[in-house]
Formats: sequence, C-alpha cells, structure tokens
Amino acid sequence: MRMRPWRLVSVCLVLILVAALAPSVWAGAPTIDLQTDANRDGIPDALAAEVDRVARSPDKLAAIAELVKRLPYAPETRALQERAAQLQARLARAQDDQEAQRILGELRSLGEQMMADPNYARTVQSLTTMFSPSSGRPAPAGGSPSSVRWGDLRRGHIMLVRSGLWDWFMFIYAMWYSHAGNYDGNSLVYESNTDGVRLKPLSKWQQPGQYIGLGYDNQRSEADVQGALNWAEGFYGTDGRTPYNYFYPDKWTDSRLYCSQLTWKIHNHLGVNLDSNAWQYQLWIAARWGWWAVYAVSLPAVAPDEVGLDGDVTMYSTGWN
Amino acid sequence: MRNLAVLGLFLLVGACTRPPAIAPASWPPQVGYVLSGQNVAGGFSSNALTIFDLERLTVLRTVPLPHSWAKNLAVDPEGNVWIGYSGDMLRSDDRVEVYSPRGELRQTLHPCTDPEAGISFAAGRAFIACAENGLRGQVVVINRKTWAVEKRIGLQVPDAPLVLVSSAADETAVLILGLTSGPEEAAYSVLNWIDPQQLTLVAQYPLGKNTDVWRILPAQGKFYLLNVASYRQERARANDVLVVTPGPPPEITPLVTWPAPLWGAIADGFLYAYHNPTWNSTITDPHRWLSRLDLSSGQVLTWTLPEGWDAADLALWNDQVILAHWEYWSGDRHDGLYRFDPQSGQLHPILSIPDASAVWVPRETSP
Repeated sequence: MRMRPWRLVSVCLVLILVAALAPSVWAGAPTIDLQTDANRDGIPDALAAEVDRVARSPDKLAAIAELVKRLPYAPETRALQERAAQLQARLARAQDDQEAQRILGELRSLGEQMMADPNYARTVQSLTTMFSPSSGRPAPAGGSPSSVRWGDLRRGHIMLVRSGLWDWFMFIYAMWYSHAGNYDGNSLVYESNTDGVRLKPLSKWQQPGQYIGLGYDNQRSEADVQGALNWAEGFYGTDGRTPYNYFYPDKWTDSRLYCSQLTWKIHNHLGVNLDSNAWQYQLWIAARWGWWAVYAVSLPAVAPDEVGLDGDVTMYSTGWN
Repeated sequence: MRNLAVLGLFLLVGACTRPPAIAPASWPPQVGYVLSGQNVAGGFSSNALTIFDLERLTVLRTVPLPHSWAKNLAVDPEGNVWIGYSGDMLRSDDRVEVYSPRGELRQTLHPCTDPEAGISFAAGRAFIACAENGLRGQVVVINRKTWAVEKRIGLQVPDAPLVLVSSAADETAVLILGLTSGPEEAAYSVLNWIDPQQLTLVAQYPLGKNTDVWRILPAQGKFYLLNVASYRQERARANDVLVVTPGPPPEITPLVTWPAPLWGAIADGFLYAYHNPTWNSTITDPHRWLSRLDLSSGQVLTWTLPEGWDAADLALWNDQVILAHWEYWSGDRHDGLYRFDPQSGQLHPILSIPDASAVWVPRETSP
C-alpha cells in the first residue's frame, strides 16, 4: 500500500486524538430514547428529532458529534468502535493487498459483533432507512419489472448499486450504495473492482434484486464528461493495470483506485468535486463505526453514498431492478 | 440486526428445504442439470447444482456450490459438469469446478480471471473463455485427460476493449464472442475463431452495429449466433440470427426471425429461442417472446410470453421447450423449470428450484 507519509501521519494523529478524547466526551451525556416510536414509522421519535436538529444545525459536525455521544450504546460496542479505529489506522500501514484484505475482514467482523447491541442495531437500521434513496420503502414483491430508467442512460453517466440485503459483506463503509461505476456506452460499464480498473457488461448491473441509482454531472456538459471518461480510460486504463485501492481515505493517489474514487477522479478532472461529505453519510458512519470515522473515512475518502448525495449530481433514477 | 435475522432465516430455510446431498442407489438413465448461480443480490445463497430425473421430474441431488457468480454450466462428452465462477459486483473469481455426472467434485481449476464466457469441448480439450479485465480476454485450453493447461490464447482487438461473453465449439472451430466499443450508442460484437486442433486464433470478424451474442448453437457443421441486439435493427434487414459456416473464409449469413433472441436450443431441425430486448441493453420494452425457426424452410412461429417474464435459459427435451426462471422479489415461490405448451401458449411449472438460472438436458444441441 502506497501513501504519502504526511497523509499517513496526519490520519494516525487524528485517530489517536479521537480515541484519546472519546471516553471523556461520552461520560455523563444524556442518552437518546430509542424505545419510543409513537408514530409507528419504525424510527425512534427521539432519534428522528435529533437527526432533524442536525439537519438544521449550521455546524453539522458538532451536531453529529453531540448526537453520536448520546447514543445509548453498550460499553462493549464503544470498545469495538475504538478497536475499529485502531484497525483503520493499521490499514494505512498495510504492506500489501493480502494484509489489507485481512484487516478489512477484521473490521467486517467487528461490525457484525456490534450488531449484537440492540440499541446500536436499531440506530444504524433507522439511519439507513432515513437516508436511503428508497426512504425505507420496502422492496417490490412478486417479480415486479425493473423500475430503473435504463433507457435514459448515456455515456458518462454515474451508476450506483446496492446488492440487496447482503451489502454488509461487500463494502464495510457502505450506508446504502456499495459500488459505483461509469456508463461507457455500448452496453459496457467502466469501473474499479478488486482486480483493478476494468470494463464489465451492463447486464451485470441489471440483475434482479439490486437497487440502482443513475445520475449525471449537472455542472458539466455531456460532451465534457465523455471527454473526461476518455481521459480516465487513457490514464488509468481499462485493463486492470491500475489496481484496487484498499485504503479508502487516500482518494488522491493515481496509482490505485476504488470504485467511487474512479468516478470522483473522472469528474474531478473537470473541476467538479463529487465528494459531498454529506452530513447524512457522516452521521451514519459516525453512528456505525464511531466518531473517528468522520475524520478517518468520510472526509478523506469518497464513498458511493457521498457521490449519490452530492449536489453536483442529479440522480434521475433510483429503484430496484 | 434485521440483516442478521434475515441471514439466519435464509440459512434455516435452506437447511430445512434442501434434499440431502446423497445420491440415490438407483440412478435413472436420463438426468438433467440445473444451475442456480446468478442471484448476486441474494449473496448467491442458493447457489447449487441440481441433478434431476428427466422422466419423473424429481430432484435426485442438490449439490451446494460456492457463493460466487456462476453463469453457465457445460457438460463434456464424458458427462462431467463444468462450472465457471466470476465473483460478484466487486470481486472477481478464477475457479472452474468439474463435477462427475452424479455430482461429485472431481477438480477445481484456476485457469484465469472470470471464466464466465462459456466452456466448450472439442478435440479432447476444454476451452474455457475468460472475460478477464474487459480490455482483452483469454481462452485457456485444458487437456481433459490430464487437466493440464495446454495453451493460453489471448484475445484482443486493436485500440478497443473486448469483453468476452459467450462461446461454443465443434470439432472444426471454437467460436468466442465478445463485446467491443463503437462509434454510436449501440452494441458491437467481435467473432473470434479458434482452431481446436492447432490451438491458434484463425481470424476475428467484427459483426458490426447492433450485435450482441450471448448464446451460440452449434449444429450440423454450422454455428447459429443469437443476436439479442437485433431489436434496434430495421426489421427487413435484421440479423436476428447469424449463421456461421467455418471455412476459409467462413461464411456469415444473417437471418430475419424475431427481434432480440437471447437463449435458444436446436433439435430436430428447429431452432427455438427466447427473446428479451432488455438484456444487456438500455431498452425497456417489457415484451418477451418465444420463437421457432424451421431451419430447412425458414418459417418462423412466435408466441408471446407474459410481460417482464425473464427466462435465464432454454433447453429442449422430447420436443418440449423448457425454460429456467428465477425472481428475486418473490422469494423461491416461482423459481425453477417451466415447460412451454405451444398449443395453449401457456407456461407450466414442472420443477421448483430456487434461483434456477441455467438448464442442461441431454441430446440437445445447445452448448
């Protein structure tokens, strides 16, 4: 894993600082009631009110920090989140892909362990429901035809996907969307997988049960975006020569790319920053992994969810295949 | 927690409903195979090779398979079942598993990345077509006696990508089809012809605008390429089916049948095809059809299927059209094999199999 030294040092310092401060911040804070759901919408009323408060707050990061420290998680869950922070720091020092994959596996395992805490599970589930494009609406039943507007897809459009119930096992920092791609025209999708930057047939994205988001860059013309796509294919290749980037915070590197980093690079080439750092995603990741993840993951990295929530992207179709 | 609960439910249901993986003492003379392997959104939790009695239409054995994308199954002349795996939306795979006719795992090979473009057999060899990274593909030739790799044949086209999607073989030719790019928003395909005896790439032929072939049917010295992208073509000049006669030079003859043939099989001089214009395309037409082409007279019959009814494969058995079908949203209630009755135009469920995505029966001429 290659990373600029100053960036590595700064990420580690942030993690150490956050871990050191965290216990004193949590101590004595009144907790959020996660039991009362008077309107029976599946979202605890107090949590919904707190989220609304974050939405209206001019200082969203402070509001998120305040909310997260008041979540009534078990001490074991907080300890697991601290452990996750340490693992994320270790990921920055990983020597090769195998070590990176092993650490990601440990992180995934921690994530599953935390789900044993009912308050934690309720919080994460509620936030995912509130912030997902489906707004918590259930998936269609009975073999419904695709509700995705595939017919409007144009070369250079942004593609996001969530693969059913099982995304937890794919991308650990996914709130809703787990993967990003770029329509390359001719029924092909330009994307980065764990084996590097490559092309795949559109049919893989059209498999039943996947939730799809289609969008376009509303800051640049279609021709400009297609030009940037051509640039990316020349610069990063379509042949896997640019390998997968397991260290998500280092989105600036050109030597390795993960899926949404590739999408971000294409549009960043045109001066459009698709890393929204959306407060919804930051709140979710802080609740899911701990406050440290806002600084160690959301701000430096660009997740598919952050692309989908960016104001420079018009999501013209979201729905289940 | 909900996810874990659903996972637990899946495992519980799977454990309760799957027949034991024990082959019966008496084995019927005719068996078919169903591959469940495409439910990426479900984590491939129902991936399995189901062996069924063709006469009684009962499941003989269900062999659980790795949770990885398995698009095709191929049966070699000795009756072994070959399955290639290609990961999921984020990961690739490099495995090919070979099962005995009764479902015992004989070999796990690691020929190349994403062996998902078909496995075909000729000259005592297996030809495994791998999509690799989508710029170029690879055909790995396996000696079927020793399992050794005899040769790796790289496939690419100049200054353009090549995403391999399908393949088929007879003793004279191995045909590999791949998608490439083109000047307009349409599908473009390239036909790669490999000599199965010399193991050389004989030639490549661009098939032009609006060509996308996911099923190749060898029959009587010819190859019938089903072109699902023909939907966009002018009807009178459409190439719904491209007939390739190998030879120096090969002859490629277009046939007008019905738009967007995707899966098919040939038996007794008839080519049956399932048509789905939305496959690998931005078209959103919900219509689905079946067609029958009389290869001697050229006469075409068509039937309309229920709107949005997606078939994952087609096979022919005793003059009956059998379709594999799976739905994500309906659970397992409607998944399995269906028989199409041409008299009534109705589909009849004949075997319930979760996530049924490919079917093979003997004596058919499809790969």
